[in-house]
Amino acid sequence: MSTWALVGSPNSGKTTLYNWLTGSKSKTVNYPGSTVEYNYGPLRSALSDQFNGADLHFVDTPGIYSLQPKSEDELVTHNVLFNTNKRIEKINGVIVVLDATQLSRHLLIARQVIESGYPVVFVLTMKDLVERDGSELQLELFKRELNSHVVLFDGILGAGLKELIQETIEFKNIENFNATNVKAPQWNIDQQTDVIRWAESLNKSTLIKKNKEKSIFTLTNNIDSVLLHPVLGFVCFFVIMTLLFSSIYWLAQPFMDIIDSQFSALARLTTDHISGLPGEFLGAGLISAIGGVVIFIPQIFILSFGIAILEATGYLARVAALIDKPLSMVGLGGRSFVPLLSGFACAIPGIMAARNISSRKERLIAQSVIPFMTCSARLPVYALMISFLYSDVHPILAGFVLTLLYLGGIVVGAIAAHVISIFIEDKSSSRLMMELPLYRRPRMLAILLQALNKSKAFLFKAGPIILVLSIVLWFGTNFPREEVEAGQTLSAAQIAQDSYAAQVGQAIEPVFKPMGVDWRVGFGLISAFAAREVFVSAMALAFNIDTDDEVTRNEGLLKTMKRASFEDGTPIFTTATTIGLFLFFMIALQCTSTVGILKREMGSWKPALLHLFLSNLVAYSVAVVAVSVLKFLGY
Amino acid sequence: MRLDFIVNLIKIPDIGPMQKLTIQKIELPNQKQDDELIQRLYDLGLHPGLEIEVVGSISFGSVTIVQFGSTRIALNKEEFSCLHGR
Repeated sequence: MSTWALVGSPNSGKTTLYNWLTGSKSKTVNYPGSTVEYNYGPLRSALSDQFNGADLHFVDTPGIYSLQPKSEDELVTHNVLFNTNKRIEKINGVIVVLDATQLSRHLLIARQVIESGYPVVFVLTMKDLVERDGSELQLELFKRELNSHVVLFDGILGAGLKELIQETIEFKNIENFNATNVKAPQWNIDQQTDVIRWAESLNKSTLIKKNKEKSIFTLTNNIDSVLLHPVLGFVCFFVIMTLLFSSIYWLAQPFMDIIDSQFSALARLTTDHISGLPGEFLGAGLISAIGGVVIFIPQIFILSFGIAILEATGYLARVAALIDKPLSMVGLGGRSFVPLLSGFACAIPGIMAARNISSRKERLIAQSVIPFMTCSARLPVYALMISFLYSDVHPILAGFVLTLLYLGGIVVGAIAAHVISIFIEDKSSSRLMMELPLYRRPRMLAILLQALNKSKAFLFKAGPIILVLSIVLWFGTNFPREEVEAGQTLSAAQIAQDSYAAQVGQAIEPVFKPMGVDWRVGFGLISAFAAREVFVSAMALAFNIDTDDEVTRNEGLLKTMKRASFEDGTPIFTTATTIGLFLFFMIALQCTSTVGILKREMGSWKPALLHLFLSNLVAYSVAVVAVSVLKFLGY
Repeated sequence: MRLDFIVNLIKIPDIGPMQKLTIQKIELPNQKQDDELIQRLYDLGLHPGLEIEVVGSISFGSVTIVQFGSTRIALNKEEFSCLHGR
């Protein structure tokens, strides 16, 4: 068996090659620094069979500009190659991936890897761009100059893949290569300048411009003159972001209606055909609870799809540069933008993406504020509350309310960033140095698959929790039951009155009363610590106990919420309490997985637990104050 | 062709014309020391003797876009101030 590490500059095409070799579906984007953790996988079995069962393994590493690491993600690559304690597998050789249009820069890594002592195979990518630029690559000359194995690879069609596998197999005694003697070269500035000049000279002699009429930069220059314009650039940015976040609401609505009606029909069918407790549990409990999560799949899909398109085109690197100054005002920088945007889908990849930020202070601030961004798990909660407040208004207006909530998350993040920056003692200045890649047409199939995978992950993460919760809640809200004479039945309200859930709920109600809500909403808020999206299902289950409506779909839940009142008859859900809930969800860190990843990335439980405690305390306090003030004003 | 037309219609000539600059040395102004910053600028392919094009400045003038060969890079104020030349 031999293991090969894929190494190269950011955006050179390593992950695309890795996906072709291993059959993995790792995300590939047009943004420098998208891979922040290494991936490990064997050669695809179909390819292995074609090479007599070749036992090859590959490691995809984060992009680097040098083997001397200057950020956390570069350190990951450095450790894979040179730190035997921090990698999963012995590395037998290195595949250096070089973007053929960027040879004068990427050859720096090539030379460093050669000097490190590792066996090397070079892969040249972006051949199609070389041709579109009217240039021709002198491959034989390139091979002679490097005195190494060089393979041309087409990332779209996969051409060159078999040649690459053949090259790695033909390396003599590669299994016995002793990696203990390898080390990263340490160049001084003069040595590095010599290497850069060698790279420029090699680039000049091997990449010959044949057609001066053609240029791959024309399109990029034209688009940049608009999207990077001092005024128009910001206008385009706000239009694009508003379109993205408002479309989550209005574009998803028809699909959500279909899912809603289908689950309602299924729940009704189940309770009609299965009598007694099993029918009640399956229909009014389990199916309605699952429907409460599935209904948000269209919104998650649209959000993931939109972000993936922006990533694939190369626009996000521009935005990072464009908003460097505004972000610097709260202790962040342009490099924080993509981690923050990733946080809108899920905080976990966003926090990991912050490894790309070289300034420690900026990285810590970014990682701390990412949980305030409106992640997809908050979306179901917001959608439910918006439906409650604005059920009679046009979907486009509701979409703008959702956009305002997203902006609210950003404002909370900005305030938190400013506060945190006061407490982090670190004088290191912010780094941008952002490479702006060529604009590329997104590969729609790959983006569709990415968005589907994200939606699937959302469903499967919440699914098991909801299943367990629905069993517990159904039992808690339906038992114990008084014995009744034959022929008599107890109403749902009678069962609920003395249920276990009601007993526990009444005990915890004083905590949630200042927020203007009763124990059932409190139960939903506590359930949201398992996963925020569970709040909706928990509400559906908890509110079902005093309704005769057997259909607990969203519409049913909304009707129940409108009727829900305290014992004295005052309604629970008012404008004040709904805004209080918005504010609570906007500020509170509830996701336990996020707490875990904060601990891992910050290296200690202390900041992670402090974040959990403080954000919830502030969220609760802000919600209580807001509800009190709004109630005083008559809302 | 259609894109060119749209671009010309809305383009305000703020981002151009490109100015050329030949780097003479790379170091922080005022004798400040930040070896890591200088090293990273070299890692990106910048070096004395290299001719770069200053494409324009964005983000309220705090970010400068430079181009050399087929590489386009956005640098913040401090990073760009390290490039001395004419």
